[in-house]
Formats: sequence, C-alpha cells, structure tokens
Amino acid sequence: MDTVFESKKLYAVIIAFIFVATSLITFSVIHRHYDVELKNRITENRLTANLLSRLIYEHQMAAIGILESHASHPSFVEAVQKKDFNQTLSHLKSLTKRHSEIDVLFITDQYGTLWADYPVDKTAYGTNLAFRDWYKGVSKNWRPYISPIYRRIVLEKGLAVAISVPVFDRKGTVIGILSSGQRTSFLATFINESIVDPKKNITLLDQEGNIIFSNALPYGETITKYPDVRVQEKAVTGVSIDMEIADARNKKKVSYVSIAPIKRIGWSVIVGLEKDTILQSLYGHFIRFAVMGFIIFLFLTVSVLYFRREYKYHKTKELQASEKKYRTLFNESMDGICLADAETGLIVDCNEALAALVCRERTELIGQPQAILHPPQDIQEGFSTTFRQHLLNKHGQVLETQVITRTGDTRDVEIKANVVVLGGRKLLQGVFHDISEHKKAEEAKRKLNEELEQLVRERTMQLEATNKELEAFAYSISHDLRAPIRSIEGFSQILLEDYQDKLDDTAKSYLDRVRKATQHMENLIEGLQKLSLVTRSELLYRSVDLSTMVRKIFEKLQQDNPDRTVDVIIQEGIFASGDSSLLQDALENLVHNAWKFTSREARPRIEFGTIVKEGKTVCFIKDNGVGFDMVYANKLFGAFQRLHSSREFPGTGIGLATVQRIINRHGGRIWAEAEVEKGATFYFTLPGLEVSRQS
Amino acid sequence: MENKIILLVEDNPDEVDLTILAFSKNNITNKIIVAKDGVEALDYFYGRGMYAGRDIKDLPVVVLLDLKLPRIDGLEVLQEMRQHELTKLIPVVILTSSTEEEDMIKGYTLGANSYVRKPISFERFIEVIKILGLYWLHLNEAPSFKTGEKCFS
Repeated sequence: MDTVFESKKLYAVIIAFIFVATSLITFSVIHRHYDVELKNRITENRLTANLLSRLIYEHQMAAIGILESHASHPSFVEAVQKKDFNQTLSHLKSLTKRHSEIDVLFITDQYGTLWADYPVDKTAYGTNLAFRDWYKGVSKNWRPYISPIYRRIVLEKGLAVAISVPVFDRKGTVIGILSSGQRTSFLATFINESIVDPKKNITLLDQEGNIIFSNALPYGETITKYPDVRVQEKAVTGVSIDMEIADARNKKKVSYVSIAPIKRIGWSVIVGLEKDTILQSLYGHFIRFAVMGFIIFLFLTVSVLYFRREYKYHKTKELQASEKKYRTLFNESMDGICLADAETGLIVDCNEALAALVCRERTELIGQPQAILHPPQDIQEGFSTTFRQHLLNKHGQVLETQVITRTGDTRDVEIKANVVVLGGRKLLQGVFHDISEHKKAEEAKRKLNEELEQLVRERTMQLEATNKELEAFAYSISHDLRAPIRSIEGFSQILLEDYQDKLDDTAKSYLDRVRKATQHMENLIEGLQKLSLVTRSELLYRSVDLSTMVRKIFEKLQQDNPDRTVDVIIQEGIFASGDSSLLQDALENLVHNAWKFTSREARPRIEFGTIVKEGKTVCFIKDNGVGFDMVYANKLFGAFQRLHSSREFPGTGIGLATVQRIINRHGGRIWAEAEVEKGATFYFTLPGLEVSRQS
Repeated sequence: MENKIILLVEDNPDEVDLTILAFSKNNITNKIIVAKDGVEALDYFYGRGMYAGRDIKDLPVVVLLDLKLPRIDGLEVLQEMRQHELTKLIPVVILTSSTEEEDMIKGYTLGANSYVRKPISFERFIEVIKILGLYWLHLNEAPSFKTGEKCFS
C-alpha cells in the first residue's frame, strides 16, 4: 500500500514536470518566434521606409525638374526678364494645364516681390514675400527648394508645400523665383498608391517635424507636429534609425518605428508597426504552438498514466500472487499465526490453526485483544507477558508460554514473534507452535522412564534378594552337606579302624572309595563356600603387590611339591588396587592351575607378567602345559565346568569361576587364549594395574 | 576328674555318636550328657521337663554347643545361659560345622569361650576332640558351683 501511495505522488510530480517542461518549451518557441518575427517586421519597416523615402525623393525631384525646365525655357526667361506679365501668364497657364499637380504658380523678382501668379490675383502683386520660408530656402544658395508645409489661403484651402526654383538669365544672374504650391493631398495619393502593407503606419514629416502625410495619425485641419518628441528630433536632424516608442496617451501601446530621411529635401519617412498588431498577426501561430504543446503534454501525460496503470496492474498481479502465496502459507500453516496491533494489542488477523489452537472461531478472535489467547496469570496490564517481551527486547526469539482455550483448558506453546509494519501500522506477528502434545509425550516418556526405573529397581532388588537367597542357599547347603559327609566319613573310618578283622579286602577298598568320595565332596563344598563368599564379602581396597603374592604362592607350591622343577618367571613390581585376600584367592587358583596343567611337561615353564593391549596394561599368567581347545573357551569360567577329566587332572571346576567372580567384582575382565598341548595364557585386568619402575 | 560332666548339645544322632566315639578314642571317660535341642539343654540347666528334680547345682564342666538346633538354637541357648546367674560362667565351646564368620562373631559376642570348627575328616576330628579334652578338662580352671554360689550370694 505504501508503494502505491507513494507512486501516486510520484506520478503527480512527473505529470507536473511534464506540464512545466512542455509549457517552457512552448513558451520559448513562441518567444523565439516572436523575436524573429519582430526583427523581420522591423527590417520590413526599414525597407519600406527606405523605399518610400526614395520614391518621394524621386517624385519631388520630378516636380522640381518640371519647374526648372520651365524656368530655363528662353521665352520664359525673356518674359521674366522683361516682366512681361501676359507672356509670363501664358507660360504659367500652359504649365498648370500640362501638370495637373500644379494648380498654383507665382513669380517674384529676385527680392521676393510678387508680380505675377496663376490663377491671377492681382491684389497681392507688389507684396514682398522675402519673409516666407520658401524665399529663404531658395535665396540661400539659389537652388531649388521644397518648403515645410503651410496652410494655403488661396484656391482650395488646406495644407501644402511650396516648391520653388530660381530663374536665371543667360548670364546666370538670378532674375526671379518660380514657385508652386503643392497640395499635400497629391502626396497622400502618391504615397497611398505606393503602400504595400496597409497595416503599416506611414507618416511623412517635413523638415520641421510637421506631419505632411499619415495613414495612422490625425492631421490635416492644422499643422500638426509628430506626437513623439524623440522621433520628431531624429527626423528633424535627418537620422536614419529604428526605434521603439510608446504612445503618448497609452504607455502600454508600444510601436516599432523606422525613420528614413529623404535626402536633400530634409523630410523623413516614418514607418511604424504597433506591437499589438505584430502580436495579433502572431496569435494564430501562438495558438498553434500552444495547442501543439498541449497535445504533446496530453500525449505524455496519457503515456505516463498508461505506463502507471500497466505497472500498477502488473504490480497488483504480482502482489496478488504473493498475497495468495502468503495467504496460503498463512492459512495452511500447521502453526497458529496471529497479527496484533503493537499499540493496542488488538488482533488484526489470525489463521485457522490459531483459532483451532484455542478452540475458537477466527471471526471471534479478530478485533479482540491478544490477551484473550493467554491464561489470566500470564496477563499484565492487558497484555500477555510474552507479547510484552517480544515487543520490547525479544523479537525473533522463541518463548515458551501457555494459551487458554474457550473452555478454559491450557496448552503449552512456543511463540516466535516479530515486529512488522503494514500500511504504516506497527504489528506484532506471532507464530504459535503447539508443544502440549510434545510436552505430554515428554511427560509420558518421563513417567515411563520412571516406571521402568522403578521396575528395574524392583527387579534388581528382587534379583539381589534372589541372589542373596541363592547365596544363602548355596552356603547353607554346603553347610548342611558337611554333617552327612562327616557321618559317612566318620563311620567309614571307624569301620576301617575298629572292624578291620571283620572286613575282607574288597570291603576295605570300597570303604576307601567311600572316603575318597567324601574328601572330593568336601573340596567341592569348600569351593562353593569360597565362591559364595566372593559375592558376599565387602571389598577392602588397598594397593596389592601382585608379583610378591605370586612368588609366595610358587614358593609354597615348591615346598609342597619338592620333586617338581618348574621354570618360573615373574615380572617384578606389578601392583593393583583391590581386596588382598580375594586377589590372593584368584592368583592362587590361577597359579595352581598353571602348576597342575604343566605337571606332565618335560620342561614346565610358567610366566607371570604384564603386556599392553589396546593401550591398557593387562596381567597374564602363561604356561606351556596341556592347554585347551579354544572351542570350549566359553565354558572355562562356568562353575563345575571342567575341560579335563578328573582322572587326568583332579579339580572341582569351581576355581576359575571363583577367579572370574573376583576379577569382575574388582571391575576387571578375564579371558584366556590357549592351544591344545601348547599351553594356556590367562589375561586379566584390574583397577589401578601398574608396573612400578623401581622393581 | 572323671566325674566332671560334659554337656553335648547336638541334634544329629550321627554327630552325637561320632563325638562320643572320638572322646572314647581319646580315652576320655567323663560323663557326657546329650541334649538333642536347645530346650533340652535349658531344661537340663534349670531342672525342668525331663530333668525335673535334678540337682541343678551339678553343673557341666564344659558345654559343647552346636548352633543349628531345632526349637531353640545354639546362640539362643548361649544368650539364655549368659543371662542366667547359675549358668553365666559355664565355659561354652561352640562346636559346629559352620564356617560363617557372622555366627562366630555372634557367638563370641554372646559370651562363648571358644569356637571350634568340626573338620570333615574323622581322623582330624579325633585330634580336635583330644585337644579340647586336654584343654577344657585338664588345663582350664573353671569356677566351681560353690564359687559361683559365692559370687551369687
């Protein structure tokens, strides 16, 4: 939503920019066009002014030419010289007839005194006109002269200019002045015929700045000066210039004027064009440009809007897809998901899994405070403790807590929550993972384990009791067996001793066998008693010198069997930690075995020592006696198990069982390796087994 | 010396016979009274039951006591004897086939004077009886009834 919101702004800015850009471009194009146009118009003004100046000059020169040619005519010169009135008058008459422009003609002497005119007005004859401007102009250098305008008082009234030429005799002496009055209306007609562009304001000024002709300014009744003083000045001084002037009455009304002086005459042609006129003529262009600019603007705007719509559509589709994906995830999640407002704690949205977790409807939850999800003891100031913690400093972490169902049951959950910002709203999104089953299972497992442990304890106790019972039984049996054996033994002895004479040899040998059997039985009983003692007695741990113990056992054996020669090798300094009397029993058994089973060897050899196997020190007793088949090795340490017949080697079959029990009780291990007729080696480990370096 | 009484407390008739035989083999002719269980032994001491009316001042010079007995066992007999003024000083030799150390400790604790294990071999048993006879009948000085009475009074 954010991005859409922002892009709206963005697009407004883009469109505004386009508007400004197209406006600026359009305006600058118009402005440039106007500049060019203005320059063109000014150039046009100048050309027109120059052209008109030239035309008027030619025109006036022609007028002068007509007068001069007449003034130099010999008959006319003669008539003037003689002041022949009639002759002169006929000349004037013919001149006006031939030239329609000339309607008034008069002649003065060289001093300016009028003596003839046409049409004839004899009242003014004899009047000196030397004060008149035209006289001053002609008499200055005695050259033809065109005067500024003046108001005519004869014939047709109105404005006119005087064109005057001097009249010379044959010697070149001035004899008079021929002057004609030229009505400005003639000039106006001439100029009007010459104007190409009627929109141009054309004004003709005389050498004093008076308007001779104008198609834009009021003139005619009286002699009028050009209204703009600056232009007047320039015109009077005969400067060729282009100027921008403002209207005297309306300053905003600006005109561009070009001043072109007419040479020799001192007049000026002024061609002007009002700015408004230029603008008016350009309006069409301006409007076209503006329309074009607007069209470009519209086109660009539409393009941008179209692009935006496409983008938005695409984006919306993407959003929809992503929203759909998220929705699916949200809805299909096994875990409950809850979105709550971080400020108010109100649930904004949740999935079915969460609703199911608390046995409620989704619609029932949305809009409710999130505290509804948790049991009362978890709520503080309207928020659950985990909500607070997640919000404050534990976002992203998994916290364990409980939720409460509609019916008031609690369930154990793990909640992981993160702060998210959606549409400018700060929300807390929590994922609820139900661990109540897991907890139940764990509880069940723990109970089962406890039960199992209890069972094991009970079984162990039962076993221990049974074992004890068995031990006691074995003991009492061995004890109780002694009495009958004693009887058998005792009475057979008495029979042999006291009734010798009454028994034959066979009877005696039978009694002997009875006695031997009882002796064997005594051995068995003693063995059993020892075996049971191993299990029953407490162990008294101390450091035991095994080497010395073994040597003493051998010494005793040698004493009891002085006829035997056995090669005995004992590694010195073998120590172990254990119960000395039990270890004595064990070693005695092992040494006695080795002694017994080497009895038939020619060179019996018994070795006691240690080796290191798999990093552990192991004790061994090795003999080169009859050995045994390794097939029966598993039977070796069983009680009453014998691998040799008692005829070959006497024995009870309890010794090795006792040894194994002793070693095992110490936490050690015993095993044997042997080969028939090649001897046997018994290995055993004991706690703290070590070889002293000193020995 | 021959008038000194030996009390043999033994339930096994074989053992009784063998013991008596062993005494005779050693030419010990003292009167041997046999009690077949603890009750009989105590009856003898205190003139009860089959021994009712017996002069209870006529005390054995030594008691050979087996431990495993029917009804009242050897250790109970010993305990009873030692608690009783009349019998508390009578030497008691526990003669048993038991090798149980616990029995031995209990026996001594209750006031036994000796603990002898019966060997299985009859020859060795004869030897044991010989030594016992020598020691308890000849060597050992036992307090007489009078002494006992003196002490008692």
